[in-house]
Amino acid sequence: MKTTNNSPSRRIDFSHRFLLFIPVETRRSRRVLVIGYYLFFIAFSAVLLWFRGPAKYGRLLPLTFYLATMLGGLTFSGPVRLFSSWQRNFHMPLEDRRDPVSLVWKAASRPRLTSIDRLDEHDIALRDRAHYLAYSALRWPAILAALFGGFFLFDASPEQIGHALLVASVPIAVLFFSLPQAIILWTEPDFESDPEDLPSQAVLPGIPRSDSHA
Amino acid sequence: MRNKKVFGLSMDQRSHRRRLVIAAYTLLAVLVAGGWVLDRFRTTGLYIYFAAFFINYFVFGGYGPYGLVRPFTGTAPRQAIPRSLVEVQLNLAGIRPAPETADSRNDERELRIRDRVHYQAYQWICGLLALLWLVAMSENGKSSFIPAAVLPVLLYLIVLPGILLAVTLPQAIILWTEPDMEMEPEESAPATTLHSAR
Repeated sequence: MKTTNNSPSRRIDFSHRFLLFIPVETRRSRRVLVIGYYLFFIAFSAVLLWFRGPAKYGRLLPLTFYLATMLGGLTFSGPVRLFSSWQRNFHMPLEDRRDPVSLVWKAASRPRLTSIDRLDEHDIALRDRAHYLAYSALRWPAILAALFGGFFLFDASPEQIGHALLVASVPIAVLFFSLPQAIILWTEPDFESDPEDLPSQAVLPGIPRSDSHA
Repeated sequence: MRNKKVFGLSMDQRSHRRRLVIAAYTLLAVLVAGGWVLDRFRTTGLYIYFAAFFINYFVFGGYGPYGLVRPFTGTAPRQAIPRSLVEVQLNLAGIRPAPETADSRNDERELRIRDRVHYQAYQWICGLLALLWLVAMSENGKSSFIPAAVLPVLLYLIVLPGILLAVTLPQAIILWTEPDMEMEPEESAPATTLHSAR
């Protein structure tokens, strides 16, 4: 299945139809993916806290970025198209490139850099809108931290403050790195099929198809 | 953005708004430095947050009904802000004029700018989170090169500007980048008449 350039779901990169064997073509499957993504973090955090304690909880922080790149937006990989325009300037096929970034990229066997379409006005509006929604939602942790953090800070030692900040930064990082992509995956409609991909149908059930005469 | 005055200064010109943004962040920086000197943010950290919320709510606007930037959600304040002593007295007497809802409504261009500046602000906050990420990575390594006593302070010095920026940055970008506001035709008309009379 392909999507045309006039499709309303162009924010989803149709070169990545599957993410962890889950198809991203329908909104329903994408919503399952988003829910699964956050459930994974909740479960993993609970397991880590249970077995290793809060001291090692900060080890989840790198994972928040790595897994967010799987959703796309931040890098070339993932179903959501790359957000930033300066990263999008890498237009040459990867095989022809000799700059250090591309050599490292090739060595790391990252996905190809070709077929990166420019974002049009509609794409940019969707990207900005998703970031606005994510930002508006994520202001609340900052406000709550400012309001209620003070009660904790009065009695805590510097080490306790450091641990608390590290622990609190993990869920914030999970949301901050992934929420715009999750909003796009959640809200974008189903992919539309090209007409040539659809099975040719008779105009009316009783009338045989024209190609069946030949 | 609304045509308003802050501390008696008109904010029609971009240069004035930029000075206001610089002044606001300078004030916050001074408070951060003062908090650090006084008690290492133990108590003063909370007041720095409150200062940022005050600046955001009453001066910058955006995430509240007041301030220079129109409310991002387009919701008007529940009651009009008293602009004179007479209005204050009317308010005290229980006569509250209805707010001007049109003043809080964003047009299509303003909504587009709102979304764009949030995208830009998001990149900056992500940059700060990446710093936090680097600190955590260094801590997770077997040989930590950050002394244990410095780590909480370092984290706090990343988180505190992060929260201050998260609260104020989109509005500051709007105030910084928006061009000079054009004069209303009826305001500029007398000047033209005088000019032509010479």
